[in-house]
Amino acid sequence: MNAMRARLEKIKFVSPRAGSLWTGPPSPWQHPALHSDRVSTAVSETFKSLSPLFLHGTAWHHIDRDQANAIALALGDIGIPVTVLRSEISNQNGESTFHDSLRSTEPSDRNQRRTRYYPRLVPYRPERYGLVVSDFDNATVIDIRLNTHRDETGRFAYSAEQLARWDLLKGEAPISGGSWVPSATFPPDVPNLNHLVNKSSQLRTLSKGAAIFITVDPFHLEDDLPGILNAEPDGIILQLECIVSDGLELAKFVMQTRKMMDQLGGQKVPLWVSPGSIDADDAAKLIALGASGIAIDSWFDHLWDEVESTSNSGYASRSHAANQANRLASEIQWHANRTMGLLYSLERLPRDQRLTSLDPTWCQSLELSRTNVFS
Amino acid sequence: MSDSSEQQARRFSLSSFDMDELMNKIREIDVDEEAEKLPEVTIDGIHGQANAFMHLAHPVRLALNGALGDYAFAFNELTDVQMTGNVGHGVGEGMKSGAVRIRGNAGEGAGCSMTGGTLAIYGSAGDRCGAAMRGGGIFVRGDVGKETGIGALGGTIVIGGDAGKNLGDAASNVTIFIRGQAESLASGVTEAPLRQREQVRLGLLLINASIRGDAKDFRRIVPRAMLEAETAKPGELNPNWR
Repeated sequence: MNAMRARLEKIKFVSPRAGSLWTGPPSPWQHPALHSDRVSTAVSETFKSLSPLFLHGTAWHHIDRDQANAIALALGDIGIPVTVLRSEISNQNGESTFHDSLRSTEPSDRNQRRTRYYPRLVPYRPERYGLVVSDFDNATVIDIRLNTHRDETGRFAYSAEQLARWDLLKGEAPISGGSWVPSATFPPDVPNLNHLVNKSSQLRTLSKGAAIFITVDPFHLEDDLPGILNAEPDGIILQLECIVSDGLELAKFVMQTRKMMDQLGGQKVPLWVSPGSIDADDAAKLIALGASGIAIDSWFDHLWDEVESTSNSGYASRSHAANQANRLASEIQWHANRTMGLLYSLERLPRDQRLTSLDPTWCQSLELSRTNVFS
Repeated sequence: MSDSSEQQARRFSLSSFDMDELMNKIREIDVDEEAEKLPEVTIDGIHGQANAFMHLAHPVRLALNGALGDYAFAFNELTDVQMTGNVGHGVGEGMKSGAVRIRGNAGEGAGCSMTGGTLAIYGSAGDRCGAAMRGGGIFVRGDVGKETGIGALGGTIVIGGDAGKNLGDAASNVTIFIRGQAESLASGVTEAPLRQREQVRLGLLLINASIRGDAKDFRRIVPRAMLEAETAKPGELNPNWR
């Protein structure tokens, strides 16, 4: 994928030492287990087979609903969870194949065939524009967004196109910003961070056992993280593309956030990140540095142009949408397989010996194992 | 079944059932679509429970006596609730239809993100009442806190008392009627003439919410863009013309 950018090239994967035990294949990488008393059995089981890669900030309103549904289905079929509201990809009757279909998984036991819904994150924004109560049904993750949304123009706002996709524009009635509506900075029915645990509890009840994640941006992390962890989330998603520019900043942020969470008692809380433009190897490196979920929205940048042009051309039959989505998913899957393969290989090494760098600055900053090539 | 035994069959207590069981009992009540009145259900054992009666979509009338915690009646539709007692934050979040009438006070974010129905609070409500609402009507007999109607994209808010600062911040296509004083209006909203048709509309809304009052005692607050659009419509009468 030409649009992928390798930002962590200076970090290298360590190979086992010569003479190391030639053991059998270790267990494949899996998401850390969730609290069994908070999430449903179905969600816990779904997490075991989830890819560490996910979609977090897709602008579904830029493409046709049928195409969007087809893409979500194709990605769901390869285990990549997708963040999407029903209103963003449903037809005029509110029906969405992605939301309502069961996904058949390969039987581990030939006598058993597991079926469950497609893995899905529900973006629970402060304003809840576009959210309907059926979004909670069979969701994998409810993602409480504590950061305010910035649109394509750079405003903290939602565009008229986005509102129209959520069916929130009423005929010719004007919206106050002219062509946009300001976005909120915090859920209006949560007085402060100390009350966030009540909101988590409400969403657990409404979703009947989905995992509760909280998305934050990094600007006030040190102040906000204790309160966020007190809300007992099942995971935290950190949006880093708004602050980090070079690879070392990105890697350091992930590593230090993981450490901070551990020091505050959040050792068992997974950290997912939205890192901006990366490649498949970078995804594996960020996981080795402490993340357990990586947003891959940037992998679609060059593909969206093609999908959007099909949307706009008027030639968007369902079969074409499905074919295009399957082709897109198979491209993504090639790179997702590389990430999984790298993670698989790392399982053979102790955690503190998996990564190294020849650059002393990177080595020191990231506390990587030193490689004495020329001692 | 006789009327009294039928009424007894529709009395449940949260001391005897947990919330899920109680909600299932309510959903099992037969509803005659041609009946004039909704089946009445009395709920006992109310003492501050959080997340109560959420996502209830059954055409019954619930009567409750006691306080409830946060997020009561969130995402409800079709149900008619009459409650005596205070509620916590987020009452009626995401309501789609039906009615919730609270004879007490409500916390912050009352009616947040509602899309339809009627939420009536016969006491006072906290900050950000009606935040991000997209439809329906909110009536507060007493005072409301700051940032009422913030981010609202539709619907109506009627305030019998005073409002805190930044009334109507970031709102679009929502009408606020206020009888008392607002500490401040947000920069994007303005007071608009209360025309005859709006007086009639407000009068009907007050009757529907069982709030006594004369529509003429209220002032209308709308987003500036909404007032400009109203003024620009052809054939619009200027109430001061005469």
